[in-house]
Amino acid sequence: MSASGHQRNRFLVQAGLSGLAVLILAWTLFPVYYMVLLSLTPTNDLFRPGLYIDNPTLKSYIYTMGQDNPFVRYFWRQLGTSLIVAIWTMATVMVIASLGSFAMARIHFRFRRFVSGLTLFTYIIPASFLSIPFFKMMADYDLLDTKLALVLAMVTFASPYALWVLSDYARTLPPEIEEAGAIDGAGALTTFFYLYLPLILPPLIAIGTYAFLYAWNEYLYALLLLTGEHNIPIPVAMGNFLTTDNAPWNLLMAVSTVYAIPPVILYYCFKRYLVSGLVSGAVVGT
Amino acid sequence: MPPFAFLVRTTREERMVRLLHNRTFHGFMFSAPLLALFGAFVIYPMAFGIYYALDRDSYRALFGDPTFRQTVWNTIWYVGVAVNVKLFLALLLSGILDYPYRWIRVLSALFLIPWAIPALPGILSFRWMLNSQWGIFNHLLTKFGLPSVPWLARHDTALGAIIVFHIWKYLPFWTIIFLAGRRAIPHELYEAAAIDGAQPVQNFRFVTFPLLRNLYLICTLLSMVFTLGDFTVPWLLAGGAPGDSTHVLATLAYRYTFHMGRLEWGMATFAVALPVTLFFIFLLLRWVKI
Amino acid sequence: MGTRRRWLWRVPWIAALCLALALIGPGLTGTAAAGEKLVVWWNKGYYPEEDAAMQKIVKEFEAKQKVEVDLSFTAQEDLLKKITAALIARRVPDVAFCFFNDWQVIPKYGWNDQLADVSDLIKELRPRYNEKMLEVAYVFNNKTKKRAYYGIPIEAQTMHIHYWRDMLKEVGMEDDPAKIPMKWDEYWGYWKKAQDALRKKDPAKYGKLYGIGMTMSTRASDTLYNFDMALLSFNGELLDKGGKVVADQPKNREAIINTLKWFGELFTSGYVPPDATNWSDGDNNAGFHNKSIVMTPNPSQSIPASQFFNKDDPQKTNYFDNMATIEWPAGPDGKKARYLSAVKTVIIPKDSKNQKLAKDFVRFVLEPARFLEYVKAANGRWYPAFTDVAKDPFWRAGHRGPKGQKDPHVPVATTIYQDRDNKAFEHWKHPANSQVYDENIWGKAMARIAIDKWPPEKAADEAIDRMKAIFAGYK
Repeated sequence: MSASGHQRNRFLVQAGLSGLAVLILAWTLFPVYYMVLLSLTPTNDLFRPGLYIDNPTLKSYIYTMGQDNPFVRYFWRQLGTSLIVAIWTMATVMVIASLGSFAMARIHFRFRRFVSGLTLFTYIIPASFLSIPFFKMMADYDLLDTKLALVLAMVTFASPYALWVLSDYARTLPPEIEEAGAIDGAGALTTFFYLYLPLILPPLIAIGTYAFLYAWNEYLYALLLLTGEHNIPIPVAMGNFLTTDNAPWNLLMAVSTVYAIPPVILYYCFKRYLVSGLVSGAVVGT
Repeated sequence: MPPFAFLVRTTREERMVRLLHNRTFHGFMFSAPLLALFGAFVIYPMAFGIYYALDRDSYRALFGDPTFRQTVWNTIWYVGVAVNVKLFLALLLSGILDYPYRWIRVLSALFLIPWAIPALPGILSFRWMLNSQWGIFNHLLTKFGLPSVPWLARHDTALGAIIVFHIWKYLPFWTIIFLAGRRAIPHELYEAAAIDGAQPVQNFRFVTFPLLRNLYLICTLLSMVFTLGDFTVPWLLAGGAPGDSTHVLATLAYRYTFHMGRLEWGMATFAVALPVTLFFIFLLLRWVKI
Repeated sequence: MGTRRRWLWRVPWIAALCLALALIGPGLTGTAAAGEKLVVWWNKGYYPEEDAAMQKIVKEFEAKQKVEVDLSFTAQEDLLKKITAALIARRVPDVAFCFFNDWQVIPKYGWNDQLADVSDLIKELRPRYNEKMLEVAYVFNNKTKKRAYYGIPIEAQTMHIHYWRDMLKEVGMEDDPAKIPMKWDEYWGYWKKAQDALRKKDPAKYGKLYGIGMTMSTRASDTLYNFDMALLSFNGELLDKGGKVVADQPKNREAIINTLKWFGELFTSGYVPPDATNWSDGDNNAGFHNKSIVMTPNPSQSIPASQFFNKDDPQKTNYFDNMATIEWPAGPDGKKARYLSAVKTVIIPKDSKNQKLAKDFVRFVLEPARFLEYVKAANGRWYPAFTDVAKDPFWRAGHRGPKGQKDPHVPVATTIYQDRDNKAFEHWKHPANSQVYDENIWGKAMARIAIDKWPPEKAADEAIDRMKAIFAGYK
């Protein structure tokens, strides 16, 4: 094949790729663009569809931030609920998964297979299958309408994956850790705190982010376990919009946008960790 | 050290020392929070749910309900079509994102957005776009002289919308997984293939695909099990409408339990899917090592 | 050792994290149930004024009785789920008021013996009650095998039809409510005519406008109103006096088929928005407010009331001039319209430990002057179940416009309650009827015709069979 043929080939590939890229971008970004567009639309233009708007306004955001509409009366409180649940989930998952991963990856104890099987089982069983018994259980413990119930649910369903990613990473660490600890005469706890934890920090950040986002995004369990305007997190409040008379959609989209921003920031900040963590978790099976 | 060595009768100090050095003990201590969590919040509700779901009357009621029968079909469609189309597209896209140009990296960063934003805002945006009177899709259709379509008010298009949303939201995630799978393939294999004069298609057929096949299968199984239990997308996008014809198992169970006060029917609805799920889990446990 | 020293640098960060967690920690279980106080779950009003009125009553009650009341407002769908959940789990509030109580809670949980028998309180209030509205709480208890009062009805909603006068005017059609034809075919034909005329006049603006905002979906309770009202117009009955299914009797089956056929034709002829088969209860309101439909049947006066509070319309032109409320038309046989009311009811769960205090609270809320203030705060959306409260001039006169206009909405509603043949929905007759509504089988039948293109006979028979199966399930 001649050199110019090669170049033409490369050009064709590039051109084809660009065409595809435009298509992919349109498919990916259009719904997001439309959400932002709607949030900037004045109420009077809401029902005149178009690909752009003539008079964008920040009113919806101002109403939302100022809680100046019955639909967003508890906006900050609901956002706070989302945040508290997400932070607690993150912290608890980090603790449980780092302890667990130490056991799984660094201690070759009997019944390890049993623990790992249980973890995998929890990871795979769809969370919604357990939702109704879980709800009934929380009602029996009198924990309904408390954030604790939601945190417990989130921790339960975010831990297996976190553990998977962490222990997978921990297995790649050199065996010298325990040996160094043993020379110092350190117990398992000391080894864990002083030698093991600092080494697994990068994937720990990844799974912390993962747990945070898992809780932040959750809808079903939040819907089941929490009720009442002042108790619910943002996504449930947004769902409630839909069942009321005359929902102001531009306001709803403003809330949507605000709600979507933190995860997007987190994803892009920790993308490197997240992707490698996720991938090692998923590719490990092969 | 033999397991349970600490049970052997010795002096107190000896026992303590042995206990502290026993690996089984350590293993359990470190995984104790985990085990407690799974015991309390997975095993217990599971057993509890199964106990409730054992009532035979519930199944008689379920299978006598035309909505339930329709729901089973919807779930099969949803899981079957959405997951397979999505993963096939993801496999192809991962090939595109694997090209080493710089702008491809920008593209792949933007491509991640649907994965990064929570499902709910996306669903709301879709819902508005699909409105038959003031949605953008119908607006564009009529602009080009085509008849408008009541997207969410017909069974086939509503179910289609649910599937399309699912693909939109979760395609990026699986694409990344496949991308990583591709990158894990040793480069020498392609070089060897190039010496044999392999074209891109042959590269894919004889090098990429055989090596990705296992990953692809596992991803299919995983994604199927996850999608089987999906609640958020069908519920918020269509809510069962029109005519309760677009329910899937999770939304129907919610409707039974909280709209109709039939806890036992809700649990039975999930129990119907349990054998399938357990079979998938069994397959996965055999393939995946942790 | 190097690692250890590096680790030390991280200690402040860890400490900061722990501190942050400790600070937000107490928030975690903040709303767990407390000890001796009256727990009241109240349906969140559509307007802040309604909630404020309730809060005021609670304050007064607290001051008078020297007790603490834990009052929380929840939106109706959410609250129904919460009440159902509470009754399933037997972790109940002392008083619960949800707009769905009369349909979905009282018949079923009265049957299960999970609600407190409040017959004594009803007996005391009986002289004040509008008798027709009282029977919704008189349900059968399958344990005691007796009927008794398991709820306290307080306010009602019934069917209203709203339309845009200015839209009719725009195409030169008669817009005066008194001059709209009230015969069945002409009445519905009138809105079809309006749609055709408006679309013709301004295709760009009204290309996707529809004449009739008729909710026909399985997820809206409005659908059941529409169906039951139309079935009455077609002289059909579903239950007899004792609560036995008579839907399958030839006369009634015929009426059901005709009703479903009518809905189907309305939809397929293109005068109802296609999304109406997918609407939830708020969507016809939204469609009406944004003028994408000319008229809509809607239970309760929520549409005008929401225009009354419209911030963008300080002169209330929409409320007083641009829109009107009219009645349901006479039936195809020329008989004057008969109406159905849903009477919103307070419950006291049987597992409540403070039943006496709960009754005191309800009694307190329902004292005439106090209750009048509360029900008026909803701006005519609800109609009181008590004759003395309904005697207030507000119900006949309504609001007065800034330019002296008469109220075109509230007095119409009052006429429907007081002067028309108006009975309560029949859920109270049998708990299975609640489930018939839970499943929205009539909405399902409409969808069968409108979407699946079934013949009305087949759809009617499927629905009737399902109804019989549900009733057979209650033994």
